[in-house]
Amino acid sequence: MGVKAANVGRINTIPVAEQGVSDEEELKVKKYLRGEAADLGVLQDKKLKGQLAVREALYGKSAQAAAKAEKWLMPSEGGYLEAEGIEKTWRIKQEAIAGEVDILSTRKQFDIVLPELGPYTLDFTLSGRYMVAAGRKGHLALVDMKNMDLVKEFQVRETVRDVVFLHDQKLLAAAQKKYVYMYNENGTEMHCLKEHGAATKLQFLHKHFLLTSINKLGQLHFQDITTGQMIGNFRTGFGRSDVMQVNPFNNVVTVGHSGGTVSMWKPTSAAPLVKMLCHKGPVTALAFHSNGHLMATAGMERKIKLWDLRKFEVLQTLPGHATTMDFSQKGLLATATGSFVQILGDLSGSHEYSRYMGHSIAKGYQIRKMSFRPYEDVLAIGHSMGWSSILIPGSGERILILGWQTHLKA
Amino acid sequence: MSSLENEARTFRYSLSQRRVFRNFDPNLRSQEKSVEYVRALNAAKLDKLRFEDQFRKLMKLLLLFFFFLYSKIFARPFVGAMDGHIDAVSCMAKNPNHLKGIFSGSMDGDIRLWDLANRRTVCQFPGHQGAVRGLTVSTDGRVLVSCGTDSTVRLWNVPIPSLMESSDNEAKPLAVYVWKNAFWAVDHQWDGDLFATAGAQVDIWNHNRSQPVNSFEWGKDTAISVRFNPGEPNILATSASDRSITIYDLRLSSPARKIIMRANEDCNCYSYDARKLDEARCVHKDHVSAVMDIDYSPTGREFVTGSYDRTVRIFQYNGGHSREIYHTKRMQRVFCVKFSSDASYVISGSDDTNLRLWKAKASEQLGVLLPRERKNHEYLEAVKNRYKHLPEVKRIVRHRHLPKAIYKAASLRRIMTEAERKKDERRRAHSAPGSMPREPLRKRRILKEVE
Repeated sequence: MGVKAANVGRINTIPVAEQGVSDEEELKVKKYLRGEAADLGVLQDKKLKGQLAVREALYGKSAQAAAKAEKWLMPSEGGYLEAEGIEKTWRIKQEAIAGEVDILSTRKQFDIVLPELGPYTLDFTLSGRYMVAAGRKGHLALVDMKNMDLVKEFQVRETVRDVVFLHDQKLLAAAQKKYVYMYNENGTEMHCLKEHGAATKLQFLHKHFLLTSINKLGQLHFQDITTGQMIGNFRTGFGRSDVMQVNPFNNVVTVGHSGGTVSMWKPTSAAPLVKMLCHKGPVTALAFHSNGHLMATAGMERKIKLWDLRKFEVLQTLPGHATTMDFSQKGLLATATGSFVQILGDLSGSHEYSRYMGHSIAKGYQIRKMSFRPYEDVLAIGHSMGWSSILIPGSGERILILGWQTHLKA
Repeated sequence: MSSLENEARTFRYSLSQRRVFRNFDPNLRSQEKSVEYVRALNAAKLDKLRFEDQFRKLMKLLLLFFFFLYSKIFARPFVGAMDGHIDAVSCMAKNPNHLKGIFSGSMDGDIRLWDLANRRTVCQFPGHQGAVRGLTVSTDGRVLVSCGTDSTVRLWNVPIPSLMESSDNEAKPLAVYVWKNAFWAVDHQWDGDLFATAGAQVDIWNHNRSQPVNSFEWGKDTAISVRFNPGEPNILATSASDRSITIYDLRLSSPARKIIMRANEDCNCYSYDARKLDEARCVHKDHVSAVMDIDYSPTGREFVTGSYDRTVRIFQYNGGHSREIYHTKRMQRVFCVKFSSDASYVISGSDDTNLRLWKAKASEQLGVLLPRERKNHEYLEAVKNRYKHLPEVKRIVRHRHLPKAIYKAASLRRIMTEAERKKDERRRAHSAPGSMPREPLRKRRILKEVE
């Protein structure tokens, strides 16, 4: 019956007339198929075989439809900077870009100068609409990035080491001098989370509603923010660390340590899932590609390494320091040290990251945190004199995904 | 260089019809399967919430706050009971031409027409002296045929729907045909003016003739049910008290085929391909007592059964076990069941003189659904279907609260069949190889097929 036909149909349902033009489309379809079809030939059960064949045909069709939707309905194409002749993309200045783009985009290039309470750290909501900036000396500001509105700013009058948004802009958590505090969007203190201790870095697992922190003693905490229950409290045993990042693909919390080790954790196991020696000196920054199999680490020994997490192998080693790194949605890697930002990109498609853009902020400014704004071609930089925002063409996704903010709590 | 804001500028849509762009990129949807699994689990839980006893306390609290919201979601299949008969309901007939009318006949000779929407009697058809055993309505919906143990067949005019508003009408029969024997069942031909009655023999009647136009007899035993084939108007099937199922063709003078089964009242339903009677297509097990009545859904994908064990079950046409079981404390032996003509309700008539109205899908939301609501239901149904094999989802979807008697009877039956199977296995192990061929249950129960 339909078993064979369905298998063929999954690859070959494009009408003959369109087959010539559809090489690129086939690639897209492959992306939406999410892997190979099941091998139905080995099945003994005829009924199951038939049912699965129908399923597979359906997957094929939906992948086709998604590819078509991408082709025809996506509002616009994203594109990278392209150099002509002997021009180099990394020599193109922000001022030059500002001259070429539309007015709305030029508004996204700005510097906010706040010399007193820096250096600043930043965080965006999942949709990229709101940003929270926290100055080391206790200045917290919640900004609506769409209409450049300051929603709320307040002073906590003590050291703020890190800040994250919880599930949306209504709640945020700040790692302060002794404890972690939760604030709402009006700046009202909602909770004081004493169990976390003096946290150096915070992360929020959006799908699980878990607030994760690592503190000065190297303890990792996972707290369910819906019930307040402490889900996990683990001693990393590698000492103090302020490098922590969540792998967005599988929500595994990854911590970089001063011994050069990187360890990966989940709230259900007290031992790290993975310990890997990545650098000969302390790990200074970590970042994850959204596809889940690319990790970037930076070490004090002046090396930036790109790892394949499927094999735990180094893909590429680049020279340079980085105090903060971030992958954009489209896979550009921003690294920063001192007052210099460098954007690396896999522009040739050969899994080799090379220089794409560079940007220097005023000399003497120390960059503390850098973050790509989701769904925009914008990189936000928090530094010792406030925060800046620059344009990185081709970094963000085009379209917001809707209806995917459900969490995993059953 | 572009962004969402630019797009919003470029496309000027009014708020009500703002274009929604969706990004289907799998890379952006991290942990897709886990999220879908949790959604499936939640959907399964919501569907089953009524049956979970530990939720009761929580529900009481919740009900205060979310009564209107949650009353839509909880699985509450029972819609209402219709009382009026003063004896057990023995048979029912649905009007093919009118969705909310249903006829019921009872053991004391009373026939009533019910309005399902208001759950009220709209008309009575007095006349039968003994129990009414069979009811059927002609395909055009104009004539109601009833028969009973008083050896009469009565034809009635079905009141037109506009008159159905006034209650307590009493109708007079169009015709009364007295015959020689008591009747057990009647069914009307599809798209024709013939109807068949089952009793000591199978009689074929015309509306206008006071005597049967044709009679079939095969063996001496009484036929107890008769049903016309909806696709082939000239084919009808009867079941008889000698454990046989017979297929008749009106174009032939003698019965066409007959199978005799080894067991009756073994609590199972058997689906047959009418062209191939030596083997059942599917055996539907789950009831713990005799199945009294079966009615197919108009879609043909499922059917409802009423049983002597005081439950109503719904089976897939190809499913070995029931997809749903309905019971209440007050419902007694179920004698007749019907699927409503829009496949969304099930009506059961039972010994306790009531007709009961059930939803065909226990957790279905009643009323008009907004498009987004409908899409959400469809989506949840799809994820539930996708993850139905995973143990936790499966457990929740399969779980049904059963009355103690039925639970015990079912486990007893399970023990008995298991013992039988074991004994059979042992016998097989101790006899010559090949001397005891394995026979599937689909074939085992069929004694012989007679042409």
